[in-house]
Amino acid sequence: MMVAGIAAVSLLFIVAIFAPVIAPYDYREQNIGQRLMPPSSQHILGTDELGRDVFSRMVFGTRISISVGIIAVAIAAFIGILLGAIAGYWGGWVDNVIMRVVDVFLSIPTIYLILTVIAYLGPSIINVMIVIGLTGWTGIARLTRAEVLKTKKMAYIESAKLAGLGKARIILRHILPNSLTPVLVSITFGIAGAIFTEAALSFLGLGVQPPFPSWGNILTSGKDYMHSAWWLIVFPGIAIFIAVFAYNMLGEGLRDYLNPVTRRQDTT
Amino acid sequence: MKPVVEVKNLNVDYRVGKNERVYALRDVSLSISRGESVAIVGESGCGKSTFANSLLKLLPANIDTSGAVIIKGRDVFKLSNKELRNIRGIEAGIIFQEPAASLNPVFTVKEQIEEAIKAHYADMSAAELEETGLGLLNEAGIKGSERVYNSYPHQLSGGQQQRVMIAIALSCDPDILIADEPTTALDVTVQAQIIKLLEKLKKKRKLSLILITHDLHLALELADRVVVMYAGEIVEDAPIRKEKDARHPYTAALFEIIPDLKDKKKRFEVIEGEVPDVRVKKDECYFAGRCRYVRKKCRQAHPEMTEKRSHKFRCYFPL
Amino acid sequence: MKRYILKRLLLIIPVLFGITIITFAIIHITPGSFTAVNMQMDPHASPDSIARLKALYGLDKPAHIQYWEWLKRFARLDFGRSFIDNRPVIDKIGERLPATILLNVCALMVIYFISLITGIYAALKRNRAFDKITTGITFAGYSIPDFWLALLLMMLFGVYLRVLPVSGLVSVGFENMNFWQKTADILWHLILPVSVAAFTGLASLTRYMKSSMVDTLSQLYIKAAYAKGLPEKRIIFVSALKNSLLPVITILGLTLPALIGGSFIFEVIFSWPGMGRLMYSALLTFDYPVVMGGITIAAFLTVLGNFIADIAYAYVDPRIRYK
Repeated sequence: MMVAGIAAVSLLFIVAIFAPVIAPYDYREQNIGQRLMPPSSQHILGTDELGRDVFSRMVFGTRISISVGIIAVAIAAFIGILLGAIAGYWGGWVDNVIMRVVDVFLSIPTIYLILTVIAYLGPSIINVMIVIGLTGWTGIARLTRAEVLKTKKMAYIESAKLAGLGKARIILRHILPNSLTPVLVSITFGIAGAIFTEAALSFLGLGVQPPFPSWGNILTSGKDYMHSAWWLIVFPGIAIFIAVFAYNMLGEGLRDYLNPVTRRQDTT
Repeated sequence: MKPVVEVKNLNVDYRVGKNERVYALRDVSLSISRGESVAIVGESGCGKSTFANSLLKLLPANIDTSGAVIIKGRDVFKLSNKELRNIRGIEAGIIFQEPAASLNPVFTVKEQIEEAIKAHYADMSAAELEETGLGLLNEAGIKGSERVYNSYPHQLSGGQQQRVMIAIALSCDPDILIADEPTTALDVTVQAQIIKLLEKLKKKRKLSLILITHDLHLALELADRVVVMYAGEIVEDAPIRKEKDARHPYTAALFEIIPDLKDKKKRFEVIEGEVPDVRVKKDECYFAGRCRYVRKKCRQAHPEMTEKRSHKFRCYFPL
Repeated sequence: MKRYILKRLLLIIPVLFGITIITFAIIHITPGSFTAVNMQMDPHASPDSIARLKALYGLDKPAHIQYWEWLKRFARLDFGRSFIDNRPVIDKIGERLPATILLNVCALMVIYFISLITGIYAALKRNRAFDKITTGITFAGYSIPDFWLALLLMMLFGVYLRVLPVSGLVSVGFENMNFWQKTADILWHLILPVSVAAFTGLASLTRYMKSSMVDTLSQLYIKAAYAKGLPEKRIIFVSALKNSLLPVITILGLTLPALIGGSFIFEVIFSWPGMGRLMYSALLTFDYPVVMGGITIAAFLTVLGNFIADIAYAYVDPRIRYK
């Protein structure tokens, strides 16, 4: 499972990096005379309403989706790990406050929060990354906190304390490395989610704006031209599916791999 | 007289991992008569729990079996699930090592006792069910049976929980009671109470008590006959009362390791060595590695069961 | 049990306050403030009327007083008036809420119904064909973008096959139908949105139900139930199921925000006249009072839902109910 996930994710990276080489057309190149053409030998996935080659747009869209996914989750992970570690290590009222904040964030439907902030800040790739990051940290925070709490109880931390190491050093050097493996799994799933959210936002017109290509905003045209251009709906969706599926597979594979119980073969 | 339990050449293998097998029970044969009490004694991993579960075919799905387990004339391994319902609960009841885990946490004691009875006697009225249930609790020595009857398992103490289990096991009047390490998880004082209870019920209901335990003391107290198991096999089967009766070196060793508070020399004896790997079959005596009387022949061929004057043992050089 | 409820209530209060604080912050801190927008709407607005508006919204008072005002109005469910049509926000939300609730409740029922059955069955036939196929489908299903699925189904059933309606809650001429026709019409319109809304929820819940059931079935008290000679159906559907359902109930509380938020996109795609759709148009037209009102209400509903789920769990699990 993990192998398949790694393979799929690597494929995505390759397409993203080598986009200019793979794509036959420039993603901006319009050709009104060729608009809304079904898949053909010239345009293997057809053209959109402005005559742009769908395949090329999708290939370049890979770059956007992957980068949004990774950066957004990086932001979320940074906030989440920071807050989670602080909450877990300090405990007491600091912990309580942070957990209440998490609760508040969790009770507001994420999409509403994202949409509102985007509506205020204006849609753009950067804003999408920021906003997904700002709303997606809660799960990671909780996980980090739980792991920190577990590790805190272990004996060797006590010995580090006795040796007089400063608090920050203890957290960074000793606690975090051990706590982070489940967080890694969470981050992988987070990327899948971020890709999904970006696609949804772009679809609604609140994410990546044309002429920049995103799988989501190709679907927007798809919706408008549902009656005549099925390829505008089918293909971008498959791309989103593959990307999300790839990261989900990777996440599952990682989880099984890192889980000592399922790793063992014999169970006497 | 026909035996109530007859086990013939029972083999139980667990299929583990890709190609591995654990030979939990190897060619086990045993016979128990009506009213006779037998203790199955052995260390952890010797197969005694698997044996207990086999009696009522309570084994998991990843097993292979051969041989027969005949309860009151019917081979448990040849019965369908529906037919098994006529054995489980009716011919034999079973109690387990962890009373807290044996009771369903989301149902009351009342519901759990009554469903056991209703499963076999569908036409009892609610009042009759309750009366029978309370009676069973009283018989099991529970004080304040009404309160306990309407409680949830987590509200009871360990001793009470085990008594409830005993009540449930005996609710449909079986002739056989299988007790798999019934006191191991309980406090010492409670242990004594449960043992007394089992003794009383054994006499009163004329039960065949099949007691699984690692505690030789307990075995001697409650059973007419002791069956000693090692590495999935029966190594001795006889009405043993004291150390001198033992003929298999392992049984003798079991007696020796019982701590004797009076004898300052014999404080904590151990049996040197480890239990053999039950994932392999070897053609030698499985106890050879730890036996202090071991000789060359012991490692050359696997000994068969010998019987001398209703004393069975599996040894080339019995004591 | 009472203490448990009380404790839970106490925990909710800070969260509710937190929600009001966040919504308050969003209104007043972000650049597009009330007066700026209003000015956009009405280029003839004189400095006088702007000053009056400021006073009306209390925008000239210090922050903590504004917050207090906000809380007071909040208690009266007064979220102001829509910038678009000047109607009270609470009215606009109120007339749209039922449609959203209808959609979500139906989806929830479908999800639970199918997931429970599939999950239980997969647990019973573990590692056999049914289980493996179901696991595969749910795993793939989990990765399918729901709005894409909506578009696909819409295209298939609405455009090409023309058997299902692709927009709205009711058909043209609804007012002239009798009760049964009305019900049928609504149900017909519900099919597509509910199917899509339920789809992604199914994946995770089926998995959860299956693992919960597998877990329960491995417990000693289930073996003991077999030992009692109980019929297998009873063991599975009574003894085991009740235990397996307990953790699933907690999930119920957690799926609520996902549903309330998630139905948003389906409402947009299917032109479903619900709160989500209202929020969407409000966002696009910068109708902030509606937006803030919508978020707050959604958040409160979520907290309420979680609370009820918590209480339900405590009620059903005797280990908590009778401490």
